[in-house]
Amino acid sequence: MKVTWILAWKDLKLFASDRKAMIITFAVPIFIASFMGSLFSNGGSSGSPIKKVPILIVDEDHSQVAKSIIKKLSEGDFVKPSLSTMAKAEKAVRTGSSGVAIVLPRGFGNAAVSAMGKGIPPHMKILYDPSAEFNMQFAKQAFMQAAMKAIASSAFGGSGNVDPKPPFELDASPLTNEVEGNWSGSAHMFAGMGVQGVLFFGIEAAMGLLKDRRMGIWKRLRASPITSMNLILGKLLGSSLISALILFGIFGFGALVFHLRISGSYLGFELLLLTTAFMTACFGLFVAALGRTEQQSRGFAVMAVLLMSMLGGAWFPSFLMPNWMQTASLLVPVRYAVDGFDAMTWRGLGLDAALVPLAGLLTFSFVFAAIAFWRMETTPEA
Amino acid sequence: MSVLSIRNLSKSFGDTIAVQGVSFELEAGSCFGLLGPNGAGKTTTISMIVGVLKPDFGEIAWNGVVQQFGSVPLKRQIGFVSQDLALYDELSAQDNLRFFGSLYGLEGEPLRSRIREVLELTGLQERAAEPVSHFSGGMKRRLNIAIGLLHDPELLVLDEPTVGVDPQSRNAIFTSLQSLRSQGKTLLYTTHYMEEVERLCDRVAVMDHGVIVANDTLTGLQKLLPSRNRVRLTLQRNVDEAELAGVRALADVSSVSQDGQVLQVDLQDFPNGVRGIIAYLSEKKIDFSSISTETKSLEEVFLQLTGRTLRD
Repeated sequence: MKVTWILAWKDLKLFASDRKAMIITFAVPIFIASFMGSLFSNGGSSGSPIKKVPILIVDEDHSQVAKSIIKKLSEGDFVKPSLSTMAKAEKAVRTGSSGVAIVLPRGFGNAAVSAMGKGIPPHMKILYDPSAEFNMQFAKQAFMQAAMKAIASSAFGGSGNVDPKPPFELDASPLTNEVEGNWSGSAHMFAGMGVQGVLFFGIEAAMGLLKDRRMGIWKRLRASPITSMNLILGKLLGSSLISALILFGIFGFGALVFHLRISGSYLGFELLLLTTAFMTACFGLFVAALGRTEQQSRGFAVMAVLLMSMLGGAWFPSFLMPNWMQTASLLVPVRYAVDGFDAMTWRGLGLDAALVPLAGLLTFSFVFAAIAFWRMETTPEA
Repeated sequence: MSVLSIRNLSKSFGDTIAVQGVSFELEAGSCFGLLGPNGAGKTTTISMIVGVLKPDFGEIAWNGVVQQFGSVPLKRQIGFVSQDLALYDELSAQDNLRFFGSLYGLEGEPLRSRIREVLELTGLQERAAEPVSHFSGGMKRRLNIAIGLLHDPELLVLDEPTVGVDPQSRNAIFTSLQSLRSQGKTLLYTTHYMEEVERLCDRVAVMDHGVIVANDTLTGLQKLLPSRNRVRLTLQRNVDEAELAGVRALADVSSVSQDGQVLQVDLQDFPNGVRGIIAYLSEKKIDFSSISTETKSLEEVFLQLTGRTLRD
């Protein structure tokens, strides 16, 4: 028994000896749990099991019925409506900045009220981001409830039984630039997991560099007649090429097996692929420059990649996150890469939609590389 | 003529002074030893010379011309053999050589030819195509040296190149280094094994706590000792105190001790001292059955200079 305890005590001491690794062991599950908790919790308030889904309302009708529907939606527990115009709503849904837009066409209110009798039910539309189908269903149910109450109230003065059949036709249309079949959950997941996967390669590249340093190879390289800039550029080029190949392989597999298509700009997609690969290489260099040992840096880097992937929308589309998290996600490069790939693949957007993601990725690449270069130039062991 | 002049090199890491005011000169074709225990500042000094570490103060001159830190022309003149086995284990010896050679601008036939030459010099030609991971520690050490030699440098800087190798591999390494010396290469060799310096170097700087405490030829350093040679005689009978005092009083004798019938005498000057002892024993009719001599090592020089041993 004593020997067993001695062996166990030794393991505890070893575990506690690397404090950073120990902290990371606790921090990773805490971060993931906190992220998931924020995503699915009701924020501590009673009432609705989940937070209100933000939706856009395009009111082309301006009738009392339409106003009443909007009021009831606002007062309800399920959606948070904001008024918009048709053009703005279409753009917002198409680019993914809003998941759902409900369009109340001109004459909708009167037609719906008369359809409670013998009139023809009017058509109304729900535009939605195909990746936000869950939100669309949620908004649809909320709208039906609010609309039925508002229309019945207008038709019967707020009393009497309401016919369970709605007095209007509702068309829900996924909004992308392609005609059909663009969206599937796999399209977003290939972008998200592709970016996460390539960042894990970035960690391996960093570990390779730290191993070079531990084995004295880095010292030998620095003693050779090449400049520090040559060395760093060589490392960046090698890692960028491998990262680009990994991304190409991942998207290629998606195309072959899951029929993932580039419905937007091919050039935009290629530029995003190369820039994401370059950002990954810079991230690897950054991790290697900051780290001292492989063990210590690996734990830190894995946590950073998981955190960036979660926040950046690699696991879940970013609109599912609370507002503060969506804002915070702009501070991680994964958000730009995932948004960019989404835009170029299933959203079917043009090159202009790739410009902001490209600028974001290049900014992060520059920051990572600059810190790494500074650290390597000023720290003897780096 | 000095090929390399090191003047007043200093380097600190935070509050720790690693190297302070180190200066020495390397003559063309010579072997200069940098001797000191672990932590003496040898590797820091070497790192500054090969352009890996920027000195806080001091300068490095090549053939009389002061070089900037990281000077590419200087790096081309230097072959660096690090203390670590700086090799890619996954690659073959040949591929390692090809990669490092290409960093020095070698390519095509000149590169292939140099690879053949250094493999032959280090005795690795038979194993050239094998991954380095299959090599023994000694073979890796030899490949480490081969890489340093690949671009045919004028100066080879070796930082403890025999750490952890078996005697056979150490001999092979020494044979290669002696062959280089005979080709007129200049060597800068750091170690904490005094026997390596004694075997290879003609001038030695002794380092301790980041400073050079002595810099001389081997003979010059040995002169720093009160006695440089020791004679042991096995006598046919014990000597008494008076006879012992007589030996002690002889010219060039610095100390005498007796252990049974073995008489141990430290001498300042070997030939005169031995002649005097033999004459004295003959005069006192004290026969001896054997005589052995030894020259005091750099270990004792180091102890004399620093008050501690090289392995402290």
